[in-house]
Amino acid sequence: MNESADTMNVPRSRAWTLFGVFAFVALIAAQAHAILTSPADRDMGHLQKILYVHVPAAWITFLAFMVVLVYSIRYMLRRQEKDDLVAASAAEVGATFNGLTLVLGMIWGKPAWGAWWVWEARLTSTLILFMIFVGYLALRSFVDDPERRAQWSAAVGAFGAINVPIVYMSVRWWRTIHQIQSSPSTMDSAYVLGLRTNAIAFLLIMIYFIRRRYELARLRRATELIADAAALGGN
Amino acid sequence: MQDQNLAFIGAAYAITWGVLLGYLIRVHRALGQARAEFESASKQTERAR
Repeated sequence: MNESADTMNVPRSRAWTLFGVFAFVALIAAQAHAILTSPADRDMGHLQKILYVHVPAAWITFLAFMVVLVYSIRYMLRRQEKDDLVAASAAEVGATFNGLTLVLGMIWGKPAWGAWWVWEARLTSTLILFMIFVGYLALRSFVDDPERRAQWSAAVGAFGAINVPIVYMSVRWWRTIHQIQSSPSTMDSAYVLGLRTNAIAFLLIMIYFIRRRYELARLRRATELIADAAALGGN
Repeated sequence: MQDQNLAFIGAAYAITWGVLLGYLIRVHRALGQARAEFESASKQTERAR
């Protein structure tokens, strides 16, 4: 594995702080606009407002795990440590959004379906996806050797991300209680703008979270490398 | 029914913000701690030289 000088170079960026502030302000604005302006749904009434957090959280989960897939494959091909650290950062952020998606789905399910949880294809496959990435994070905390940790993580990360299309298509392949994918083409136009702006705000927050988590991973790794170098120098 | 729906909507947004702000605080705290450890380790290495 290449532990380059790049790992040791840990910049501190004010621009990313501003980006984070902008992302959260964008989310406040998007939510306020969506809540205040979207009309009540014919069937669900105002309950449809949960859609503005549940659907973007699900999309961002998928996207974060696609980042894991891309950087896991990059790691397998190039053996660059920074690829492993980006994949791990995206996996943690993705698992956070995945957990949020499940909880928001339960909050939607209780009034809409009369049950907090139903063992149907979409919910079950989303739960399996969540468990795979919780396993991925647990694996990383159990393996001390950085190279072995990166190799095993890349394999599990790629395997986990392959499940994303299955989760996405589950509502069409196994037609059960969950509605088909919410997208601008399947929704009333009155809700499309609110969904898009909230999805963009969630996307900005995901980028910010991954960047900060990556910065944290690099700092920890750089400290480990200094400690290792000091220990070798002392022998 | 309508009031009950408002409670579910309120819970959904409260949980969303709780998770987002909770994760933000967690990562920022860990970053501050990691930065302090990194600077401390760097200084120790410089002193050893």
